[in-house]
Amino acid sequence: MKTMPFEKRLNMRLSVNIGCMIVSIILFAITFGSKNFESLRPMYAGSFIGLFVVSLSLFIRNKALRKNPEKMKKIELLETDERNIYILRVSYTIFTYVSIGILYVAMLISGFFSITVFYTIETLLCVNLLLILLIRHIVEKKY
Amino acid sequence: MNTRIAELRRQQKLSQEDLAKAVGVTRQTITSLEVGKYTASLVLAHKIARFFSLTIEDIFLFEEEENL
Repeated sequence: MKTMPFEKRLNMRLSVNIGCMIVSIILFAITFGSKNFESLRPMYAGSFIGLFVVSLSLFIRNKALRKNPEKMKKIELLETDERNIYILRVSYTIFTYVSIGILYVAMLISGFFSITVFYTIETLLCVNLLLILLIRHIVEKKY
Repeated sequence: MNTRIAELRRQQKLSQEDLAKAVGVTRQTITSLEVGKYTASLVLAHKIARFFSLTIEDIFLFEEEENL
C-alpha cells in the first residue's frame, strides 16, 4: 500500500489547522451575533474557543516540526511504525464495541426513568451502527 | 510467532535500535518481534530478511498450528 510522504502530510495538516482556525473564528462570530444562541452561548463559545486553541497549538507544533528534520523523522517513524498502527487500530476497534455496549446498557437503564432519554440513546445507537456498516462497506471496497 | 531476529542481531553485534533504524520501525517493534508478541507484516518481514541477506522462512519460524 502506498503512503503519502510525511512532509506532504505535514503540509496538509498545516492547511487543515489554518482552516479550522478560520472556521472557529467565523462560528464564534456567528454565535455572538445571533440571538438564538443566548442560552447555549457559553457552550458554543467554549467549543469554538477550544477548536481555535487546539488548531493553533497543532499549527505551531507542525510548523516547528517542519523546521526540525531530526524531530520530523522521529515523529514520522512513530506514526508510520506498523506496530503502532496495529495498536491504534485494535484500540479503536475495542473502543467502538465497548462504547456501543455501554450505550446499549445506558439505553436499557434509561428506559426505567425517561422515555425521551431512551429514544435519544436508541437513535444514537442506530446512527452509530449504521455508520459502522457504511464505513465498513466503503473500506471493503477500497481493499 | 518465533523468530531468529535476536540471534541474528547478536551474531552481527547489532543493537535493537540499529536494526530498527535499518528497517524503518521503532525499537519497541523489534522487541515485540523478538519476544514473539507481534507478527511482522509481509513488507517488514521482507525488509528484515533482506537486511540479514536471508529468506523470510530462515528468520520467521512458521508452525503448522499457528493461526496465520
